[in-house]
Amino acid sequence: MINHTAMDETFQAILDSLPPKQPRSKLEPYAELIQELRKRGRSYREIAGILEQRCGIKAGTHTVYNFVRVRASSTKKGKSVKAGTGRSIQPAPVARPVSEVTAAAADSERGNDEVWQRIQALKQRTTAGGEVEKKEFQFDENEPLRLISDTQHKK
Amino acid sequence: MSSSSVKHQEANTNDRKQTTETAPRKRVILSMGGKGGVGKTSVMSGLAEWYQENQIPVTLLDLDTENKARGSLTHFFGGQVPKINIHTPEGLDAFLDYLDSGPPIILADMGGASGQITHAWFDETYNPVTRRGIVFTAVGVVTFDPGSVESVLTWADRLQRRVSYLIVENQSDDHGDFTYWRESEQARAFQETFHPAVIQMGYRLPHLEAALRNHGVTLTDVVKRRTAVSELQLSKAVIRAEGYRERMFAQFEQVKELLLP
Repeated sequence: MINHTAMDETFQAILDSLPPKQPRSKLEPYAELIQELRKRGRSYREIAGILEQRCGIKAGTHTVYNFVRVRASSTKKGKSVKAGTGRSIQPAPVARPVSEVTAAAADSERGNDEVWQRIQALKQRTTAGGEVEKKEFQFDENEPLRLISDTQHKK
Repeated sequence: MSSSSVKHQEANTNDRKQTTETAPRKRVILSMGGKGGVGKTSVMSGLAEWYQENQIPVTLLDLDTENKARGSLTHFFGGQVPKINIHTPEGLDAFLDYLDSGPPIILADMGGASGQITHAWFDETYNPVTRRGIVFTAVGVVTFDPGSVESVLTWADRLQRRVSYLIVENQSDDHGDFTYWRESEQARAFQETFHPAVIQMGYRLPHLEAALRNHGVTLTDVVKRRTAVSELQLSKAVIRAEGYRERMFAQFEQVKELLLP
């Protein structure tokens, strides 16, 4: 029979013994900043400019774009592993009387419900920050001005 | 140019959106920097003269660090105008020192490369500033050059409805038209979304404009014969200046709700 606690300890020991992996992208240390800038509606080109001016990091627009996309997809994968068959290392359970366990479980379930309600409410709350919530007008400075007469002529 | 040429739709006022207070306590009027040489400083200087004429106290701020000497707001109004370098870590925070006290109007002439810094500053400080009853009017100057239109649209893309918009059509040349401002899809979309107030600045003789800029002399200085520059003392210069000034003031009068708190 397999002793799970012993296995978990072995896994933990292996994980602890490994040196931290070097970030694959030079943008990794700025991931949070980049994510926040995207949330604030900054274009990839603007972010590349900010990184160069403020952080001294030279990265092309496409590099920033790829970094954001790769991170977004890996976050999604990470979430699905946790929710599905992924194995997490947790401390071994301590034996408790059945009645105590049941009451604690009910409490924890109620608590979880409340937390989830708070999370949902927080998600739905409109941003109170100074940023523009939704753009009513968009202009891409990389695109030339299009004369209405030209557009109609093409049609 | 007549007052009927002012296309002023419903005052374009985003003030109610900007502040939760019933009456704004202070108005910040800032030029939308970007394309250089379109006449931003001429418009801002003209505005300062209009306030002066109406005896309304105003704080002038010169944030145009690129326009170092001739033709800057500091040059026109001498020691009255602090020059602020926004290219520092504090950026536009120098603004805040003038928000809590002093005159009810701040007139800020922004530099060509001020866009990104101003947009970031708005993102960071807009809510606390508006809670103090401050409202903003962004002044854009368009010419026949499509670059001037792109500048305004780039600012609008970032500022959205956080400011009221006043657009000055500057007839910088005696021929040409505002095709890109009036007939491009993007400019139309901006106009339909924000209904900016639009006023005109008529064509001015280039040599007179150049003399004013080079010597840091305002139209009022010429009209009231307060200048020692000989070419600006000539009657033809005084009469021209009087005409320019009158027409400009008449245009500002049409949009005064965007210029007063």
